[in-house]
Amino acid sequence: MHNCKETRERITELALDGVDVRADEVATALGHCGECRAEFAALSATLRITARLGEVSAPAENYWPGYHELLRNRLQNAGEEPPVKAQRRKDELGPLFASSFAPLRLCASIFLRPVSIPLGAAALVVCSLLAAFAFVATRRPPVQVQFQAQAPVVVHVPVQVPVVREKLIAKVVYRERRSRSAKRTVNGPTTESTFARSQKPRNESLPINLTGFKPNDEIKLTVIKGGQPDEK
Amino acid sequence: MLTERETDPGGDIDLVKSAQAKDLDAFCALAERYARRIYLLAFHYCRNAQDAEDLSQEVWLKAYQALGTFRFDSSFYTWLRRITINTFLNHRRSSFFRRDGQTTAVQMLQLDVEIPAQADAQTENIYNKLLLDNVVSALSELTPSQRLAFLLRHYEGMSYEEIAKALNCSTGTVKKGVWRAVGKLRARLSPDPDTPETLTSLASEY
Repeated sequence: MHNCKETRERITELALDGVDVRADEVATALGHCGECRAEFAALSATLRITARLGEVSAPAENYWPGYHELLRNRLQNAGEEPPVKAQRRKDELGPLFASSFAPLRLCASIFLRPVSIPLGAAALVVCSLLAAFAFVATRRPPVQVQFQAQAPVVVHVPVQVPVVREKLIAKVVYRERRSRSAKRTVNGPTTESTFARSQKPRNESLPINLTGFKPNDEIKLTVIKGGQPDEK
Repeated sequence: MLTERETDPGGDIDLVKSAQAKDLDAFCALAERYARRIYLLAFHYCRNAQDAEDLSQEVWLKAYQALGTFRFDSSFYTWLRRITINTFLNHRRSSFFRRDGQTTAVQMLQLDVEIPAQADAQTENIYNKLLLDNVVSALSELTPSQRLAFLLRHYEGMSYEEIAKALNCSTGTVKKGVWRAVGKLRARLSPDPDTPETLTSLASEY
């Protein structure tokens, strides 16, 4: 069974093997798949084109005598000559280093050379050096030029900055609600509840008299159920 | 162990022995024999004539200095090619090459343009120059490893195992690199990937 994915790897190998590949071998590998055949043809053509690079890029025949002459010269100096790259860098950077080290070399040749001078001249030179050292050490420090720092220019530019103000608006809405007692009033007189009766002010004229009451040993709590008049 | 005939297809042994005895003429004779192959390999790798000359000459200098270590275990060219590959690898990460990664400004070559049979030499030279620039540009799109593996496989005919041994990597890595290189070149050089027959018919004319 033909598998294009597996055949692609084989195609590259067949194309790289060049034109020596036998036609039946190619046919066996490619089967009857048109895409694989086209891919093989394209790869073969590409590789043939790249193979021509050797013919096209080969230097002319008159190039080689100079090449071999240069090589022979380098081989003769192989023991002394650094590698090609280093030599190329040396050729490029040589003048730069030479120009940089020339003043240093000149100073070294002047000051490091042993010179015989008379004793008086040596003493004069030493005294001069000491005097110069004393002068440098005792002279006043150079006046430091103080630069007056300019006051920074302050520019006031009014800038309007938008401020976001938040305002809370609260509105309390009262809704009138009919009480149950009002309903009852509207519908007709009804008996008052026990709680309503207990809330009524008692007759203040009657004095509180506890005569006839006995204290009970047992406290009995009575929970009176009820709530606000508006409570549902 | 290879026989002397197998290792010396071109009669290099006498020249190598003379060169090992510090005979410069013998070594130059070897250089004249293989200089073109080494130069072209270097040119395909670094894609610049000046770099190719420097690189190939460095290969010959290294070969001359290391000639005493050649034990005739393989052919002289195989040994020389190993030195070439090592020289390439040494310069792979350096700034040795002048135009590494640089692409040519030449436009895509119209490969489907047929050269007339009566075209003069000047026209053919221009066409060859375009072909050269285009293929060099396509090669520059490969990574150095892919390019080297492709060159060794395609131009030198080395097996994957030999390339893997030379590049010190696995055979699978080499295969993958070569396949990717071929794929990139096919995409770059094929004028119309959908109609490769045009390319095929053109290539058959070469």
